[in-house]
Amino acid sequence: MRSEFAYASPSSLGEALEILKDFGERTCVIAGGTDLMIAIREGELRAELLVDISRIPELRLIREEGNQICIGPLVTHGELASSGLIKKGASVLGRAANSVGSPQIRNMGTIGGNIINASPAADTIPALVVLEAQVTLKKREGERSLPITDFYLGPYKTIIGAQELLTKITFAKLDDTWKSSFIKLARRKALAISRINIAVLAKMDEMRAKEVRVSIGSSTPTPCRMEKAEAVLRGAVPSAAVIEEASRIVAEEMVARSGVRPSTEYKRPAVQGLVKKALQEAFNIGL
Amino acid sequence: MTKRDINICVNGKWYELAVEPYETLLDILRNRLGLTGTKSGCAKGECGACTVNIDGKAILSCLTLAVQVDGKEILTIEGLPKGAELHPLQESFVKHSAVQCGYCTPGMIMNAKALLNHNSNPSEKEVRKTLSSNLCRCTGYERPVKAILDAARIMRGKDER
Repeated sequence: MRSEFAYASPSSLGEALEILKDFGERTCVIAGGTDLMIAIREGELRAELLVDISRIPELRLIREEGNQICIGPLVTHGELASSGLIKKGASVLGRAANSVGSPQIRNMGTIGGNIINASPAADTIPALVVLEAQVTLKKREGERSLPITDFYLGPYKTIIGAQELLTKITFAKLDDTWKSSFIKLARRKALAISRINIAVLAKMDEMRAKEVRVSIGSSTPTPCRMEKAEAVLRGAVPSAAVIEEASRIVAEEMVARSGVRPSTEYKRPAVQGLVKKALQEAFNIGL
Repeated sequence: MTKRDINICVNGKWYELAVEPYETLLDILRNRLGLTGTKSGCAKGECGACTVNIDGKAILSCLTLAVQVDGKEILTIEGLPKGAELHPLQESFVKHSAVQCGYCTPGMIMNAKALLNHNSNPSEKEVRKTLSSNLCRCTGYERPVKAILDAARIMRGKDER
């Protein structure tokens, strides 16, 4: 039996915030629907009112604001993957978006949905973490912006209030001294949910890595940076030995954060190997 | 719960329908409009059998609420032929025997149609990547891939004329 609910489709942000103000906890927001429709079909949607934000044009833009790239929550994974601005200034995000689901899912699913649904396996999140993205949450009374790493409380849990809407995602545009990579491991290449995904950004100064950012998804309770490994890489001339050491540290950090589980025996070497591959790709060595 | 009135254009024809908020586009196509070419498979977004085109892009009709497509133009497999003349993609699937049980075929063809809309000359790799979202247990994909590449070639020829 499917969930039953009333439906509202506001055509402006103001109207949407009014509805969320009035009905708060009783609402659920829908955009692309790729996650929510499954809950609806299973009869698991608890909300009385479905608020469809897909008809709010101002939430659908990718634009440059000075040195920042600003993405509306309705931008689809397909649009991210084919955006020239993203390719140039944040290619790691474009590649992450291009690894989501299938062509159909990428035409439907949105970056906002990927962020809000808070699946630990979300592919865009590690990319947004290394981009040091900020998310802006808005309600009728005002708005707040915070780093994406502060947005998550646990798997499928975020700090967003019932009256709030995610209205934009912003991060600094990267110049071409930044190298990047995104790799995911799943049961198969297409249409599979990530078991482990990794995003790497490295700012190069001649041969030296001036700054390195590493985030792994699906393997830690909340999205985070691998700071100990980043410290090992910072200032180093990337070599096979340094990469090996950093990969080992990431695997250790992953285990420290998620605890030892039955899958750890498999995941530790898998994470290590995958990080090695991601770092080699970012530094363009040993491939 | 209250029904909502929507207007949708399916294969060039506009329909006014009263729909429940929880009804999907797939429900409407099959049960109201009798367009049963579009299939229901996994109902989870994994098999591609329910693929249709909206604004020239491939989407999954089982994961789309009917109320969300109010005002939109939808193309299904039934909208591809021109009168008695099959679309080149359909013709090519027949010619290459790319159909066995046929259940996945409309989804495959609608996914291929969307690919060719923005890429008239796809590589074999691009075709294979596109078809990765259409589960097929019969054909082994060899013949559908050949059929799509051949149809693309024929369609490019037609455009040039």
